[in-house]
Amino acid sequence: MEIEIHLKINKMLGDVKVDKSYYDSFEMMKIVKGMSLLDLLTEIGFKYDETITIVNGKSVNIEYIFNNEDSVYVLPLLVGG
Amino acid sequence: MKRNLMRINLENKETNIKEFDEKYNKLGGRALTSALISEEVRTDIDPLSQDNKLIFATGLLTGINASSVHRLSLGSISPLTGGIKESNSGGIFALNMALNGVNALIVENCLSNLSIIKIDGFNVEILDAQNYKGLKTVETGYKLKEQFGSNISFVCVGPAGENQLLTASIVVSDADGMASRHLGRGGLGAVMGAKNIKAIVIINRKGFLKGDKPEDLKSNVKEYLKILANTKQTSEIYTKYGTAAMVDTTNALDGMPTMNFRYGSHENAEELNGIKLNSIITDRGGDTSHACMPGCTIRCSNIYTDSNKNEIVRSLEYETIVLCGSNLGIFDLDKVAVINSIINNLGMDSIDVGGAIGIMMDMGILDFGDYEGVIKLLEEIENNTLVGRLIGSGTFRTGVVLGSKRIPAVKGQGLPGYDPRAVKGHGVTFSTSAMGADHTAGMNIREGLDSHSKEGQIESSFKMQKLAIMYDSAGLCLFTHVAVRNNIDLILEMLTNLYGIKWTLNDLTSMSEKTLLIERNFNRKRGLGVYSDRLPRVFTEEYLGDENLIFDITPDNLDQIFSSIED
Repeated sequence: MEIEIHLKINKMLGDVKVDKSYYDSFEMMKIVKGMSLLDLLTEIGFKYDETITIVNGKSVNIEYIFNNEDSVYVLPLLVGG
Repeated sequence: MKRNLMRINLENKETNIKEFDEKYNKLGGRALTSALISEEVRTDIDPLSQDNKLIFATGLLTGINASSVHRLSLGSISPLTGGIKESNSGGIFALNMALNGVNALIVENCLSNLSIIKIDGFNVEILDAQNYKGLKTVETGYKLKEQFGSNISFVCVGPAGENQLLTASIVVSDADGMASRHLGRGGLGAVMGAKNIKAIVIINRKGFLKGDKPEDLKSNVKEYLKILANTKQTSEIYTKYGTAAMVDTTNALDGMPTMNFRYGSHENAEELNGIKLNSIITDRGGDTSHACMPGCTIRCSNIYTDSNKNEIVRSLEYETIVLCGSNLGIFDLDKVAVINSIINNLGMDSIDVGGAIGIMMDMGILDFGDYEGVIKLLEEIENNTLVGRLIGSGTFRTGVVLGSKRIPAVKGQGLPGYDPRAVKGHGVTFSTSAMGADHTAGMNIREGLDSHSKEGQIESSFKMQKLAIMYDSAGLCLFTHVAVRNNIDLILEMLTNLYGIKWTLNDLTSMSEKTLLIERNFNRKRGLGVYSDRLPRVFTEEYLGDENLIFDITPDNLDQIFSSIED
């Protein structure tokens, strides 16, 4: 069974496996219900510990299971400015 | 490998050199400066009196032929926070201290006239600097090179330091010999100004430290460079986008200080982010990947120019972009760059100055977004007027004098670019660190945690505060963290092969924990009680954003942060 999330990938992360449109804005993506953050990042070609993922405005941990209509933003993990 | 401590007594102008005492054998950078300050400086003194000291120290790895290891630590008592302080900077001063055989430099007492200290090997001269009086930092750098030649490294103060403003920085020369890096936090430029030191100049030395086992060290460094090269952050993101890369993250988390911390995000944040910065600099033919120290492969710095390719500032960094940009309602990197350039040239901390002006805007003295008004206020600092001195006294004092109820400061020091309601781990660090609200004291923006939740933030902040001391003491740039955090054994091997004595993880952990306690105890003796380990009410009483974020970690929990290492 599938659910829909809205995915955006920060441009600084560069091109990986997903369509370029995900670098411009939040685009709908169908995923398998029960998918965790780690599963998603692995599928689209990122290492969990090199990214920070914000779901509905909050950073989440590796075990997070997506809900329908989640807004998911993947950014590079940085330690400071 | 032997290390030396140079002591310069400004009163009798005598210099003393000696090898490190055995007890300092495994200390460097912040761990060393804090140990020396706590042993040598009385806790009852005025930070701007002759009783205070400036203690410069190289990191444990500084001087070897590797990337990002030449950070400089400066210890003192801060006139801004009233507590012990370590300010940290890149540049080439620490590298050349190490290559001259000077691993710690203690400057004590005061001079009667503005002077320059020149160090060449173990020879020290104190020279008159009346003709440098009032010079801004960039001009000072040029004049120093005229006088001493281009083969020098230096630290210097600008007018703010000479005028003993509490947010005065000390500027450090970069890999091009330009006055551009800042020992920014804590107002230590005022301490240098109070000692009547305009600059300290070191004659550069060629080569690098080879270590006790040169071939093994070389092999370690090769592996270390490989790790930096294979990590996206250190090989690409910091390199292309600089620290401005952080804007997108804090904005997305609702943690980007906006209009004196009234908001945590803004629809125009993209005008300030790393992508915009890269695009502007690239279009104008500037440098997006400048190294502040030789051999750095991360190269997070930049040279920001105007449309005619004239340099405005080097380097435009995240903290300034936020505190002097979104915090003031200014969403234009060209304007932020000019503000940054003026503040740098006066020799000041752009975080605390941005915070002070943010409060003035919040109080209605000028409008958010009023760029021209900001420029006029900076002219007041340059002219050393009453208003200028008020702003130059920093975020906290400006807020108190103006009667603001919304003062983003801890221990008298302005908050850097993270709203503690949205990035709660940083709130823990800002509250409990002896350094006050300092972005170099332990950042955990995402150590596997939800930054909006209070869960796990105390433990995470404690871990990152210890790691920050470890990096600062090793001379390692904090930006290597993402690459080296899972390779600490390699860092230990580098230390072992450099010094010819075995280093263990326990050595580093023990050094960090002892330093935390030394600093905390010193502050307690200075009178900085439990009250100083609290965030201001604006973060505990005023809700932020749509999620109604609040800093809800209790004082009792904050007070337990160091309990596992306290007696």
